[in-house]
Amino acid sequence: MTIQTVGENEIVGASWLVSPYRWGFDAKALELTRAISLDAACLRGKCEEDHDLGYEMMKRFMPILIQRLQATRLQILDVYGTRS
Amino acid sequence: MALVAEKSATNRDPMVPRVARVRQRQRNLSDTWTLVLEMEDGEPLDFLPGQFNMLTVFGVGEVPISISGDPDKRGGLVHTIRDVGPVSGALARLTPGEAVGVRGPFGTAWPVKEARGSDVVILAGGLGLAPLRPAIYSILANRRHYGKVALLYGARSPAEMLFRSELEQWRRLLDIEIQVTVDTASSDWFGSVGVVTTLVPRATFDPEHTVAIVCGPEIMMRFGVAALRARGIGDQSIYLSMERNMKCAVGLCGHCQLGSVFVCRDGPVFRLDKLAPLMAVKEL
Repeated sequence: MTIQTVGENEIVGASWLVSPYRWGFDAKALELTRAISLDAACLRGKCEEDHDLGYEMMKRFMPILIQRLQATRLQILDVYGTRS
Repeated sequence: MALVAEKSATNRDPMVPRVARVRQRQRNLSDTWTLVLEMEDGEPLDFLPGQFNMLTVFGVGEVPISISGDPDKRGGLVHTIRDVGPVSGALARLTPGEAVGVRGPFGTAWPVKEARGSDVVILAGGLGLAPLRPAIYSILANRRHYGKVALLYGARSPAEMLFRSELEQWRRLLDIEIQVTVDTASSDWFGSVGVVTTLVPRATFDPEHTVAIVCGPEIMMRFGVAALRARGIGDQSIYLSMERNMKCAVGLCGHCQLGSVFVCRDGPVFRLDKLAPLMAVKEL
C-alpha cells in the first residue's frame, strides 16, 4: 500500500523528531533520486544543547507536519464520494 | 467575472424542456456514465464551457448536470452523470433511443477567453473533471493563446480516474502539463499518491500571470484554494464551480441561494473574490 508520494525538496520521514524515534513506514525511490540523510541522534543532541537551533528546527518542520496531517485528513474523508 | 451565457437560446421559454434522444451511452466508472444526446428538433444546443443543463427523465424528475463535451464540436450534447439518486440513476440507466428533457444551457462559464495571454492551472477532483473538460477542449483548441497550461487531477484510486484515456492522450501532447494523483493505491501504482492539493506546489506556472479554474468536492476546493493562494495566485484569478440544489435554473425559486447569490443564475462558476465571503459563512 502506498500512502504518499513526495517530490523535490520534500522530506521523507519525521519519526526521528519525536520519541520513541522509530520508523512507522518505509520509502521506495520510483526514479533516480538524490537525497540528503542526516544523523538523527546527532541532530537531536545538537538541538538539546542549543535550544535556539532546536526551536528553529521545530519551526521549519512543524508546518510540513501540519500540512501532511491536513492532507491525511482529506484522504481519510474520502471526498470523492462512495462507490456501491 | 465569468461570462454569462452569450450563446444561450434567446427565444425559448427556459422552463419548457426540449426533447432529446440518447444517441450513445458509455460507462466511465462503476457508477458514472456519459450520455451523448441528440436534440429531437435537430437544432443544436450551443453552450459555453462550465454551463449546465436541467435534464429530465420523464416521470421521474429533473436534475442539473454540467455539460462535459466539446463546445466547438457539433454532433451531440455530452453529459457525464454519476448515479447518486433516483433521477441521476434513471439518467444513467437510459439506453440509446430513449427520451430526455433538456432545459438550458444555464449559468456562467469558465473564463477561457479572459485567460488568454496567461498561464492556466486547472485543478480538478473526482467527477469535477467533467465540468472542466469543455474548458480543456477550448484551451487546447486555442493553445497558442495561452502560456503554460497545467491540469492537476486527483481521484480516489487509479481505477476511479475519470476520462483516463483522454488524460493519457493529453499528456502525450507535450505542451500541457498533466499531473495526476490518487488518494489510495496499491504498490503496483507508480504514479503520485496524495491529495490533489499536493500537486499545486509542484506545477510550473507564473503565479502573477495565472488564471486557476477549480472544480471538485467543496472541501477539496477549499484546500485547493489555500494551495493556490500559497503559490501566490490572487483571488481575482481563481474561479470555482459551485454546486447547490438547483431547481428552476433561472434564479426564481431560491433553492440554490447562497447568501446573496443564486448559484444557478450567478454561477455555477464564480470568481473567488466574489465567493470567498460567502464560503466563510458557516453552514451557508
